[in-house]
Amino acid sequence: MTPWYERCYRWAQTNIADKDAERYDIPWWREQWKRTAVQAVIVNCAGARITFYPSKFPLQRRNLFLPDRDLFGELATAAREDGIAVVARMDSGGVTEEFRKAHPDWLTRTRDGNYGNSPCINSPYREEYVTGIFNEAIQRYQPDGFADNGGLGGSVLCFCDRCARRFRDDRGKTLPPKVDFSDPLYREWLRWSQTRILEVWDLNNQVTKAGGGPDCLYLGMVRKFQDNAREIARRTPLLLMDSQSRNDEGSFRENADEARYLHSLVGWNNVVTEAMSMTHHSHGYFRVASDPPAEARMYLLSGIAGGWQPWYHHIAAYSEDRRQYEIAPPVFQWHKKNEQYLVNRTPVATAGVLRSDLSSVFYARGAAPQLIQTPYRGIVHALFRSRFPYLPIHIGDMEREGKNLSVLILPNLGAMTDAECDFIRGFVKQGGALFATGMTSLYDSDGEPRKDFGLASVFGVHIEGPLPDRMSFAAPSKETYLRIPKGRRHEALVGFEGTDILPFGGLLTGLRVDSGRDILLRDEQTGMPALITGSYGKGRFVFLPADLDRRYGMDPQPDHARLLGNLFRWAAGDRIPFSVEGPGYIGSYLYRQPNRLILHLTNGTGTDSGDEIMDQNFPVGPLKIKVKLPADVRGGHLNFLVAERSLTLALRTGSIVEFEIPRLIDHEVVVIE
Amino acid sequence: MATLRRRRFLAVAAGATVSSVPRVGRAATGPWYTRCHRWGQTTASGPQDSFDLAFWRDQWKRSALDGVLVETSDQASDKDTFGRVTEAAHNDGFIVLAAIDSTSVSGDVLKSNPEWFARTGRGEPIPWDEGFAPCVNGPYRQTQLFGVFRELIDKAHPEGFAERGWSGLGRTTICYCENCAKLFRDSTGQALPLAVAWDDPIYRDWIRWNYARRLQVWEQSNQETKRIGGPDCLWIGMNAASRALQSAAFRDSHAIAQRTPVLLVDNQSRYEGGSFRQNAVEGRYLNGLPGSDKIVVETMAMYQQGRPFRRSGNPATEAHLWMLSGIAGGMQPCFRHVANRSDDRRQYEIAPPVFQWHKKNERYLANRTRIATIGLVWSQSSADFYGRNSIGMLAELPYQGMAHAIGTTNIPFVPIHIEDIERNAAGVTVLVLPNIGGMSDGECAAVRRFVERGGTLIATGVTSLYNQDGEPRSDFGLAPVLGAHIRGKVPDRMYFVTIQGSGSTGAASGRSGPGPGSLYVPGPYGGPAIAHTYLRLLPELAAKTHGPHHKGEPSAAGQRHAVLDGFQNTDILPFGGFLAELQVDSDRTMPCTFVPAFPQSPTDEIWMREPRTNIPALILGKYGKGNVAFLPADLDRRYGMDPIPDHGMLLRNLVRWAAGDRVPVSVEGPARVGTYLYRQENRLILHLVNETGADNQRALLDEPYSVGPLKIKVALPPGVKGRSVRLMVSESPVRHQRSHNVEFEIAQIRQHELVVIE
Repeated sequence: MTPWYERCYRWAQTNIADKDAERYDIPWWREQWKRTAVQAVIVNCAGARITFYPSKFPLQRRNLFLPDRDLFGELATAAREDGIAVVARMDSGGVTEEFRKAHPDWLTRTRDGNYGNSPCINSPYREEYVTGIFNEAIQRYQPDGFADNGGLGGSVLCFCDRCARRFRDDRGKTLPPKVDFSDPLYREWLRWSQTRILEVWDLNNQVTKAGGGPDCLYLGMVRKFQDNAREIARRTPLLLMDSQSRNDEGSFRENADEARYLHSLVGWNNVVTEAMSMTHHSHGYFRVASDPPAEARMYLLSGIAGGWQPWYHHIAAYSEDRRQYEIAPPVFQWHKKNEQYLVNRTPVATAGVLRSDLSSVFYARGAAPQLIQTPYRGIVHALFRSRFPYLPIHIGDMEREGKNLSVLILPNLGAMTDAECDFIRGFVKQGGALFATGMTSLYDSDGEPRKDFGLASVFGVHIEGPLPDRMSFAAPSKETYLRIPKGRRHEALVGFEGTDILPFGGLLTGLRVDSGRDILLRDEQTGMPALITGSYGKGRFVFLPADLDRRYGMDPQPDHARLLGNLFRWAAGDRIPFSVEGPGYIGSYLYRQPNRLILHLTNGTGTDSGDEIMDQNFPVGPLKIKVKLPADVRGGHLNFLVAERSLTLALRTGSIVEFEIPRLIDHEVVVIE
Repeated sequence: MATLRRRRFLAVAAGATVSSVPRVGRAATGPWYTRCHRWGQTTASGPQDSFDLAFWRDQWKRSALDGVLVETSDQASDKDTFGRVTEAAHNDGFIVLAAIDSTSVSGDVLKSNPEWFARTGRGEPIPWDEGFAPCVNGPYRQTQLFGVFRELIDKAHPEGFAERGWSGLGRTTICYCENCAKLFRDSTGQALPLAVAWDDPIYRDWIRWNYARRLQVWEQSNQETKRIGGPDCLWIGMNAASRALQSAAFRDSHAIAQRTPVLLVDNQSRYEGGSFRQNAVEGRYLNGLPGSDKIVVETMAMYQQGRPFRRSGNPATEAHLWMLSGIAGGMQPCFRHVANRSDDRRQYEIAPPVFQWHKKNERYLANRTRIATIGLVWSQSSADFYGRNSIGMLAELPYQGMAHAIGTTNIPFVPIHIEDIERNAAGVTVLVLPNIGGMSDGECAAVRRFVERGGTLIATGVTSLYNQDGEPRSDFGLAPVLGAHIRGKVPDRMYFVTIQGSGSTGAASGRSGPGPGSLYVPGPYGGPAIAHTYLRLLPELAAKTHGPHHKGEPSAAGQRHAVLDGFQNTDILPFGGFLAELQVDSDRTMPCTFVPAFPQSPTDEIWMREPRTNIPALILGKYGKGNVAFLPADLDRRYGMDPIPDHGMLLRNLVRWAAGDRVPVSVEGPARVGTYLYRQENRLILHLVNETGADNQRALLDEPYSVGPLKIKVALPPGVKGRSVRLMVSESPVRHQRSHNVEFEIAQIRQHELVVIE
């Protein structure tokens, strides 16, 4: 039989507040599970603060109102009776004051001996106490798996005796004196600590599988921009993410992106699911009020378009705001009806936008939001505005994924290993296109500066003089411009006929360009090359030392979007598999299944571009769609899964199928067969 | 005369009135300021050869300008350029205003003219901008600026002057120069206040004296320019559209409007938190001030104002929508370029199409009467004396939140200055008082009379709880109308946004969350913290709505008020603020009450500790012949800070209930459209501005999102037959149905539409 984690496509979570012990209306929730067709539920089991069943561990606080009620047990039994998998929700991150008093020696320590608030990853808390709770829960309830809301710890430089001993045993060294990325010893500790976190992950899985059988998984939880998500993905067949709304610094389109990224890590035939809040998670966390239904629905739909298996989340078991209970059912029923098109599919894209944990940690050195995330977000926003098909991927997977991609985009990936640089060189030599920005490849795998770009031979651009400060881009914008040199203009400058300057905001210094490269823009003030294009081997490259990706991520200038879009298209040539024409803030995501293509369209017009919570849809249309058909797709039949209509006489020219969507309200899925 | 800093000396040009320069191509009837509708501003400063006169003459022509604002400086070469530019403009038939900037004066003349400068308490000059602040009460204006006016009139005969910086230092900097000390003593018999201290009556007297002095400056400057340049040679000080900025600089738009036939408004772009909608609303406000036949001209940036890229063109979509919103609100457009040449030439293509359209439809864009159901009240006195150092939080945000909520109902409204309530020029039937905390007895009486006679009142927050000095009363000044009374001590004026027990707004410090037991989280965009509080809707319906049930649910009995329409599936709404206990009169109803804060995290802690209170959030009732809604909950402020859909819905419900069937226009269709209705004799003029996907973002607008079809219904007043409906933007034919309304459909609106119904 297929294991549970491969067949659960719709998930539900209802957290338990203390008061819920008196008022948890289990029959009603069973009905809600049924009307949402969920296949797995996440039920609060235990945390370091509290246990939702009568635990034998004395430090686990019982329910305030009905201390002896076995609420977890009742819910698990009900779910089982309804044929629903049960995932026990742990919250092993934070501990109570009482707990801290009972086990001060388990807590992290500062260098001068003060206790922290959280248990140390190398203390018995992880290896004995938490695993003990796993075993107790398994013994009592045999859950299908465990989710864990809190992290595993380990990211804080702890000076407790156990850490000192373990680091010495493992690495033969004393702990580094402080957080200092320029100190090789600190970097070594950091790598060791990352390994320890994964060891605890593995330990948890060993315990849950030993007690609960080979399918009883410890699933933890990943979060956006988590720097070990790829390592975790190698250890699990199923990824859970906590990113419940746009309030988590996101947008509808980034929600779709995160699903695509996690799928790229764990595989497209595996399940990735994300908690999506039905309660007011937008601007204020009004925990028991409904999230504005239009907002929550669009978050669900954009996530599904990206490949999340949906998981609705209620923060408590009772609320007088009933609107939250009506958001998921229609979406989940639609999901069930069309499930075959929403799983086990592979994306079709032109560009891969690379993410690098190495750069996030060792190049950014604590400034990942400014140096890594903002350029990434600027690039994907510009790709989105250009309606250019892309896929976020991990740099470690570029060899596998690169085979299906024409363009690799490296948004300020400052630190790259020699091997990564080698791969990119080979990729371009063989005809791939490279799009790199900022300080990409200027630092090595430790985040230490190289003398020149690691990709200098591709760019034909070299550092001349002192290296720029790695934080120089993070300075506030200044009144600086990029100038278009006189002479014949490059085709990537189309649309700028009315201007010789473009807004910039930064300052470039110390670059030299080899002959044979085209300099499209220069820093007006310093004259330094700001945008260089050319060919390398059989491939094309774009190198944009000016950090327009970061600047677009901070404050989107329409000029920057236009320029970036032009450059994407120039780099890709004609290798773009579909197009969507017509005004609107439209997301478009293409997938393949044998003999068919599946195109998702989402409408964020008037909502996702902005800062306000969404309260209504603004329909757009008509949209003209053109899709290149692969050899195994005939393309004579179109099925619109939202409008529930089909079309058999689509216009077809050669391998291109062309059709129109007259009006897009929130989303549409077109199956082309 | 090197006292004015070079970049600070502007001159404005607009259709000539100097008798020796005949206007070309237009019937010259009446003085220039009654017939100039399109303006352009650029600078004549800089190297002599930098001003490409041929280009600008062509640009003025293709923009169909009536007048030109020419910035210049007192450098000899710039004056020459100014003379050349003015002569050319006059020859082409344009009026010219000389635009100057007196914000600061170069320190070079500190020694020779020490009496020109504002002084600290220790007698030191006050650095300001790139020089030092001149004192408006010193001899600087008379001896220096007036000399400049004379020189420019002699040299180039501009039709008038525009001056930026004319109001001098603002209310947070007390000038202690000898002139200030003497004039203040002569006027009030008192020494200057020792510090900025709103509790000090002398400081409040100083504020009022400063306002009066600015009006004297206005009058004296006009006397001087008219004396030298003739009766139509106006001096016009630049004003801000932002009421908070006006307050800060002692500029009372209401009083100024009574002293000039032209208002010049420096409100160039959406920068600094403005919105397209606000621009239209500002236009409606300024056009409704006393002396309503005046022309209100707004400078609009063709460059990227507020961002570092002043040489880059503003994205055309952004600039167009800003201009069109202003025009819809009654602003006469004035394009502004910050330099007279730029390598980003796209900025020169922004204005011409809009201005050409404006010229073609000019007859519908001026000399018209605003039609509105609702009057949104603004009180500068309350903003100053109740708002004190927190005008933004206490006055501006509630006003803007309410304007946003009313605007999204499409029910026409106008801002009304509180002193104009009795005049009620627009004939509104609903007054909205958004946290007008400070009200005089006379203002309270005017509102009382309005309601007694059958008008509807919506008042929020602590409206009327303070007097004209901003000092607390023992009870609301409007207590009999509101049906509510203070119990015990008057809450602190920052009560709404202060984390209870902390004294802090929690924006940057305090317990942030979610975290163990957190009762609030930091507000978005650096705003005050959002408390985990709710409003409870009555009667409760949970017992009979679909959802989980428990034994403690009250039985669902009774009917809810219409203001809660759309909330039938909830008994609670997110709130985020705080409320104090009130005594409510027995003839009033309370459809909403307050639920105090409880933890937002961790999970097990999330349950209401006190699910029900009698603390009112909304009180409804009647007074005299009128309906009254009193909303102590500051949903208008919250909606102004960060629009939460439920807050908008409740505010819109209140507005719709208040307006009843007295709504002259409705717009149906999924779109955010600004709706602005006017009348000219036997025709109605309806502007529709497409704000969809525009006003919900801080980012620059890069493309318009067309909307439609929209169904429009407009009530025909007596005298308007409604036989023809014309669309003046798309120029496409439209079929309509006519009864006592006209009904028609607009297939698509890209950025705006102007409907003329005759």
